[in-house]
Amino acid sequence: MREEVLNLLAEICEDDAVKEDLQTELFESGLMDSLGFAEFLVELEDQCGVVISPSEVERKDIDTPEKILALVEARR
Amino acid sequence: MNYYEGIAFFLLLILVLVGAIVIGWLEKPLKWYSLLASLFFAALIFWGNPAGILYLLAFYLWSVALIRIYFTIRVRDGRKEGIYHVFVLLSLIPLVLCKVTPLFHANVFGFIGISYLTFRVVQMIIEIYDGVIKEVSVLEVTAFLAFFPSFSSGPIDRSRRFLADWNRVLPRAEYLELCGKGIWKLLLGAVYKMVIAAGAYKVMGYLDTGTAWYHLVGYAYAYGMYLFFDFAGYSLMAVGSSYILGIETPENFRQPFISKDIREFWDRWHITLSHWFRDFIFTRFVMYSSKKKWFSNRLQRACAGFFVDMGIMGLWHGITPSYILYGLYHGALLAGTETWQKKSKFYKKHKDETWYQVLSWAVTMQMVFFGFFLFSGKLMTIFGLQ
Amino acid sequence: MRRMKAFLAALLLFAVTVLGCHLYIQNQGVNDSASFALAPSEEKGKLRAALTENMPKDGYPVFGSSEFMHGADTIYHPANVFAQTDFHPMLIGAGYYQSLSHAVTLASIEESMQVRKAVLILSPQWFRKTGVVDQAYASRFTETHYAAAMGNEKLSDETKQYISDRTQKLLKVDEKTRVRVLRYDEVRWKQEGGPLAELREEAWSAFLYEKELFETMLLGKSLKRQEKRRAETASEVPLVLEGAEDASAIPEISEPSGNMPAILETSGTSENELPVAEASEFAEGASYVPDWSALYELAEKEGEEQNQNEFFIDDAAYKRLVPHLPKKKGVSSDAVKGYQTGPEFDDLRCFLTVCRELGVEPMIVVVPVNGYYYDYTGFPKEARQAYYAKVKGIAEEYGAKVADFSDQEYTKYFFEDRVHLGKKGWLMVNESLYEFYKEA
Repeated sequence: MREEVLNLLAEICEDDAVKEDLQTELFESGLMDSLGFAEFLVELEDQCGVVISPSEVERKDIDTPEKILALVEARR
Repeated sequence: MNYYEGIAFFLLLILVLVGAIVIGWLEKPLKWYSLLASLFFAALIFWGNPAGILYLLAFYLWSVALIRIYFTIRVRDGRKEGIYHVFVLLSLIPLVLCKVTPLFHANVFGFIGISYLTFRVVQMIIEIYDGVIKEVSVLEVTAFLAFFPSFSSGPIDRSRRFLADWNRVLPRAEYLELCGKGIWKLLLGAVYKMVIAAGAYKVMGYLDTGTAWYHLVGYAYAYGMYLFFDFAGYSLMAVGSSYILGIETPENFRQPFISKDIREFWDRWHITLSHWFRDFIFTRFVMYSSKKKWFSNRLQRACAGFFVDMGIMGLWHGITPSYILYGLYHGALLAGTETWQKKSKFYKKHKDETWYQVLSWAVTMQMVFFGFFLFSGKLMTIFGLQ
Repeated sequence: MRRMKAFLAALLLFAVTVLGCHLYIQNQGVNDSASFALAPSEEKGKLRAALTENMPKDGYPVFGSSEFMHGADTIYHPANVFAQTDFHPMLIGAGYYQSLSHAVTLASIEESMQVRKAVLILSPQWFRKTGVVDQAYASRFTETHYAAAMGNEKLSDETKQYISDRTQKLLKVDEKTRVRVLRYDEVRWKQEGGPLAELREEAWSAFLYEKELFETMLLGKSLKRQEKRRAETASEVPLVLEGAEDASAIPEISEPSGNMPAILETSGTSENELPVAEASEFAEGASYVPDWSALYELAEKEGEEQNQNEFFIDDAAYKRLVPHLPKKKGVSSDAVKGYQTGPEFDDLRCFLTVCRELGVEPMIVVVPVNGYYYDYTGFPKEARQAYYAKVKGIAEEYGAKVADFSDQEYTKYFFEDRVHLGKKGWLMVNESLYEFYKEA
């Protein structure tokens, strides 16, 4: 599961670095934007069956891979 | 009387807020007080406008009924897309009537605040569908919709965030800290609106009489300044008043004139509106179109999303050529920026260099102020289209 | 808490500052009522408190317009002529003031008037067919006067209605004031605003009063400077002791002359013997009147030296006029109905009605047009005569006294420029003011 989410993230961000450094600032570094985030949510639902609403989480709660992993874990 | 206009409103506002400070200082709940104050102001402002009162009541009953009924259905039947779309459309009917009927020289549902109230209702229905809203109380919905500081023109708060604040009772020290910030914002907003915006308005009036090209350019800039200080001033006063009532209404502006590209601009300008559109239109459009495979790649999807997002925003401002053009203009700018930043090697190579950033800022500002100029309707007047 | 403390400290400082200003301006107003009354000033007509508090016991209001600003540095201007006499008219007006503003002002200040008389100096130019221009009326419109007029119980409902209707129409150019003014109708006149509206008006009036005190302070300072400049001119005005026949102490006394300058031309006094008195020489308690014949003689003499041009106006004014003259020739020749129609006539009736309802005896000063200049522009003589007849007729309708100078169109040196009173013009008007004052 963890692996799947990280692969998905790397694919969206077009950068494998997110798999190694779980503290990477996703939005500030420009790796992720509204568009990427939207696609991430779609893929997450498709591949892992986890539904997260776009308005449900604030940017500051999902701005690193680690936080995203924690959120997905909590949702399973 | 109107919200944040005239001596009478401000005198009453001071009275109401002094009462709030006493309650907050005593560490008693502010929720009942703020609800009563909201109803008091609504009654005072709609007094003598029977049509307005009727529309407001009809809108309120309609919206509360939709939210309540949809919540019951959602709990019973789960995530059903069809019924969800029906309810979103139903919740939009009053706003659509309000915006469309003027085209036929009628005025249905035209009352202060309808544009902004609709955001709150639609947000609740969408989030009920998402399963994020887990309970609905009519009283809470009423408090959220009626909240007077942001009733007429935002900032657009979200129900879950608002109600968490509304239901809490802050310890004295924390309340006084919040209250102090609120007073500061309220006063700063008053200076923005009544001193700086009023000054810019005078300059506009002066430039409006000239016909030379530089009068027109000056007018565009003065109008932009007026628009910012007027609306940012109003927003600050609304946010400040909310703080004193214990509600941390989100900010609407964050130094928009330092933006280095259009995307950053929309992250700093009328923030609660653009974020609402981002969360409830753009993101959802992109997700939906990606599921349905409408476009072959991300960039196309994004560009279409920007056009839809900004186009609807233009329509929301009003169905006039100026506003529609304004929306499409910003859609095009965002799509263009997206394409440029994703495709251009030049951009990737130079984006972190100072000269590029300064140039990018300067170009962005020209585009922004030209946008304001479109928004002002002046261009349409010049070409005799409006 | 830190921010709250800062805010409270700022609030306290603000309150102290406001209180300080309030206390300071209380006694910074005008300290010499007579000189305030006489001073020509754009602003003073708007300062209700200053007008009522300084209304002279030995004078009445004289309402006029831009002529007050002309010739203020000559010995012929009322501000100087009456400076050291027993008569101190309150000069109210400046450009853009016309009958309607003055009707409102009179209704506002009448309670302070001990001498129940008032004079209105009519400028023919007021009677263009548009009447008072909305922008002009709005620029001179004063809320405190309007509120006081609406609250004046001596004024009839019809008169208030007329004033209100006209004001509503003219204030279209100043929407905010227009709406605010509607509330005065409600609260002050019809008294149907309710306690909340009354409270609001009270608060607003208190604010306006403070503002007025502040403006009075500023005006007081500028008038002081102005008065210093004028003092010398005023001291050059020839005076005689009242009841001149017995005043053998002052040599070469002339009889007060009457209106016609022609009498003066044969008067025997020569320039060197003019009884020019210094203020310091005056005996305590004695009262002095302007030496009209000496003044007319001076006017004649100065005019012969300085006003030798085709219109017999001041040379400076003539020089300014010359470049524009060619395009003025004959421009008004089709004004057959000029100055004979338009709302100003009803506004004049309103002024006279206000006088009647307040128990104030009015005098209308009919100022002529400059005959030489109006002939040049071709403005028909018949139209001019019809205008004089019409305003005199209206005055008669209301039993108002008329100081009629319509036969002075061709009196040399009567005008300073094309339209404003000059040397002889001012003297004749002054003499009529003085006589009106002395009348029982």
